[in-house]
Formats: sequence, structure tokens, C-alpha cells
Amino acid sequence: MKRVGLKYCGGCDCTYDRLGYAKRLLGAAEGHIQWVSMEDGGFDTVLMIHGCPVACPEEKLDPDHPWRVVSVTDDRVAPEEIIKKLIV
Amino acid sequence: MNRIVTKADYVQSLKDRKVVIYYNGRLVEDRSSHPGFVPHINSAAMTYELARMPEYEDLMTAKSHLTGKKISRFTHIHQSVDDLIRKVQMLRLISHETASCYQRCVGFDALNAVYMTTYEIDEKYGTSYFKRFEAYLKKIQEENFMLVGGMTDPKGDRSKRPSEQADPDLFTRVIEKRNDGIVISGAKAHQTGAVNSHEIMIMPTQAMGPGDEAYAVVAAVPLDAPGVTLIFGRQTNEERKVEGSIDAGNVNFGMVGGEALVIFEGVFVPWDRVFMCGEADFCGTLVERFATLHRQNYGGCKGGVVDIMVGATALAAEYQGTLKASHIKDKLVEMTHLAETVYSGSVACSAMGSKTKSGAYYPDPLLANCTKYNVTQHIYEVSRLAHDVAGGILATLPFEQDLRHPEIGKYVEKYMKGIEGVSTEARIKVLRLLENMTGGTALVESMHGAGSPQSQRVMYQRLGKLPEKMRMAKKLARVNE
Repeated sequence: MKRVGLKYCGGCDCTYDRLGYAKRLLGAAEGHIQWVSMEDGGFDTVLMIHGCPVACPEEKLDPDHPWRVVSVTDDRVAPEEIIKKLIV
Repeated sequence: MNRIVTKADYVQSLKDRKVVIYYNGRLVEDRSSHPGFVPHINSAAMTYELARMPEYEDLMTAKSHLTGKKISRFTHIHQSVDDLIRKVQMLRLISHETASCYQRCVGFDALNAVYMTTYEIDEKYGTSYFKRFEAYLKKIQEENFMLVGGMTDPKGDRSKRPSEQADPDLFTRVIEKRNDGIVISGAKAHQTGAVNSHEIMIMPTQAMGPGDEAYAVVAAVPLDAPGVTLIFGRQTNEERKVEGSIDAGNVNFGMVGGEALVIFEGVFVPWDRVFMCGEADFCGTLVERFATLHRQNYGGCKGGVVDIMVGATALAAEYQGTLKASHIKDKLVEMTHLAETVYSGSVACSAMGSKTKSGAYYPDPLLANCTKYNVTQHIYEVSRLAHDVAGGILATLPFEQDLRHPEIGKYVEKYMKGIEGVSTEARIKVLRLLENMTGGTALVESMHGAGSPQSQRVMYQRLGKLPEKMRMAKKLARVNE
């Protein structure tokens, strides 16, 4: 199973149901992805779930970071499509 | 103290530390389970619980500049403009979860204000307050206990200075200096979160002059120290919270912070907990720092509270079939405008923050004062609009017990009904939430918390750069006199 880093923004003023969408996304990834925290390491892809287009954590990433970042800022894309991007 | 991580740790810590608290004339035996305090405990506990969740930790935690460890943001010293903005974002977030005051920002602001000011006192007087304070800061970052920011003295006759009062205890003061510490007497009024905190950071309440040296004191005092007594303040409809009924509107969380009068009668404080003692010329600086840091918050926390008020108002309108009316939509737009106005003030004063000599960052004081001043007005306007939209039913709803009554419940059910598809109970719950958030204590807190509006206007006079504005006007008018 592919290890993917999971990072949430702080959720100060979300423009959609961020956690509801995340729940659907994590459900769709079951059996395909092993989620780990950023501190855990051992992954080359990161999913960042943001509550709005400001995308604070992504904005603050070191420009030389080694990961492939898939970023979510709204719920317009089906969770299955996001999973496909992650397990490429 | 063991490190507090979870809500359970927090509640147990309150149970373990016995504090002398009076509620409605009675000594409280167990503050951790008293029904008058539980809603406030639940609100403060959210600051612990959210910090444990990956979905929120980005705002709720920070990296200590002293130890490099992950800590609660409520014990962090702002290291950048980004930290200042994150503080405001965090407050809005927690308001969304509680629709209430969660109390820990006051201690947070006290830590930052004392950090900046002790550095400058040491620079001028060669004292060692800053080092002493850093040791205290490490302790609170490690143990994660809850600190009250104790600034407001009772003040007695406002026309007189502290040393001129008929009763010298109306401003908290040092009554004795010993080799091992100091002894203090006096009181701090309106202390948010005091009954469910562990310690209080006492600070002077105003600028002091010569003769007021005994009142120039900053010290961290455990609330269970001998000689400390708390008297809990009454709030609007507090019996409803005690009943635990839907009539409370927001039964899990407090209406505001839960304030208390904290009395000090000959309380001993060892020197390692004393961070100012007699340096009267720094009282004004400390008060201004604390006030600015605290006023910075209000667009964050009240912005978040107003978000819930807008949502509840829209639901009330929807449940009575008026949501699509153009004037209702317009009023909701106005409420949204006011919420974002106060929020933008908090973000702006943070974005324009600057570094102090200590290295800690500090919001723009003029913009922070503007933010709080807007809150003193806008929350009333938001509440007025909420009342306008919700209608008179907000003030005349029957009791929950009438709804549950075997004989008359059917009448409440029938005549309080709104649109089809929404239960009467759901409609009542939303209206009670709105009532809880828009009346009495909630409004007064927005007016006077972090300082009354006149104190912000005084700051406008001081910080408004009037001579510079006059100079610019003269230049454009080509006036050379």
C-alpha cells in the first residue's frame, strides 16, 4: 500500500465542509493508501487538505521540499479522482 | 503539575487543585463538576482537545522558541507576523466550535506582554526579570496549565490615583517585601476563566506615577495559594445552564467566559514568580502592550461568534419561511459584512505587526484598538439585526418543560411550528441559541472586555498622529504659517 503524508490546514474559516469531504476522501482511499503524518516521514507524496484557496500550509512549505503535493481547496473534485492522483 | 493534554487531564487537574470559590453564597466543593462552571470548563477544554487533532493542530499548536518542542499556541511567544495572524485565525476557529469565550487568550496575552516588557525593564534597570520569566514560560509551555490574565483592579474612586484611594486595596499592591518574596493584597475584577484556571498573572491596571510603586507589581500566583478567594459573577439566565435544558440555547458551552472577582489577602509570592516590583514607569508600557494584544483578538473570536449568529439567524428565517425575502437576505448580508469587518481589523493589525526589542512580535496598536472599538458597536448591530429577523418569538418562547408537558405540550408543538419538514423542537433550539448569543451578558462582554470603548478612543488620541496629519493638510493647502 502506498504511504502518503496527510496534512490539514488549521481550518479557521472554511468555505466548504472540509472535514466532511476529508472523511469521504479517506473512505475512498481505504485499501489503497496508508496515511501517515508529516512527522512520520517515509513518503514521497503529500495530500494537503485546505479549507479555502489561501492554502496556508502549502504556502509555508520550504521551496526545496522533496514531495509531490496534491492539494485540495474545495469539494468540487470527486474523492476518487484525488485518490487516483495520489497513487500514480 | 503533570502536562495537561486532554480534556480529561484538564478536568482532573481542576479537581486536584482545590481553590476557594464562592458561587451564589456557597463555597464550591468541587469546581470541576459544578454545574455553574461546566459550560466554561467545556469551552476552555476545546483549546486542549482541538490541539490534539491533526485537522486543527496547524493553528492550535506552535514550536517553542525556547525548547523547539511542539506546544499549545496559547503558551507561545509570537515569533513573526505569521504567528500574529495565526493567533487570530485560531480564535475564529475555536469560536466556530464553541460560539462562546474559551478564556485562554487572556493568559496568552499576559505572557506575551510580560515577555516584551520584562526585557525592557532589565535593559533599563539591570534587573533579572526576563530570565526569571523565561523560566516560568518554560514551565507553562511544558505543563500546559491555564493562566488568567489579571489586569483589571476594582479601582474604587476613578478620579483618584492608587495611592490616594481611601481603601489602599482597591488596587492590587505589595504590602511586604521579604528576603524570599513579596506579600500582596487587593483584588482583580471580572477575571475571565478564573474559576477553571490554575494560576493568575497579576499586572498593574493602569499607568502609575511616583508614589504608586507598591502598585507596580507583576507576579504569577497559583489560584490555590493561601489567601486567594474567588467569587463567581452572575450572568443572564445562568439558571438555564444549570438546568442543562435546551432553553439554555448553547448548553454545552458558556455564554461568555465565566468571570469572577479574585481577592488576595496577604498572599505570599516567591521572588521567582515576581516579574515587576516597583518599576512604576513601566506600568503604562505593560498595560498598553497587554491591551493591544488583547484587542487584537476581538475580530477573531467575535468574528467567529458572529458567523454562528449569522447561521442561526438564517436558520430561524428558514424555519419560519422568510429566508427568501429580499429584506431578510439584505440583513444577513449586513451581518456578514460586520463579521468580516471586525475580522479584517484583527488580520490587519497582525499583518502590520512589528518586532519588539525582546524579539517577540507585537500587533499594530492603533489598528488593534480600531478593531476592538468596532466590536463594541458591531456586535450590538448584529444582535439587533438577528432580533429583527427572528421576530418577537425570541423573547416569548415557552419553557422547554411546557414543550415536554403531557397536557399542554401539544399546544406548544402546534402553535410554535414553522415550515413543514422542520420540527418545533428544532426551531426552538435555534431560537434559543440566538437568544443566548444576542442578549445581556454576551453584549456587555463585547462592550467592556479588553477595555471599554473610551479606552480605545484615548488610544486614538495618543496614536492617531494628528500633528502629522495637520502637516500633510497644510502642505496640500499650501499653508506656510
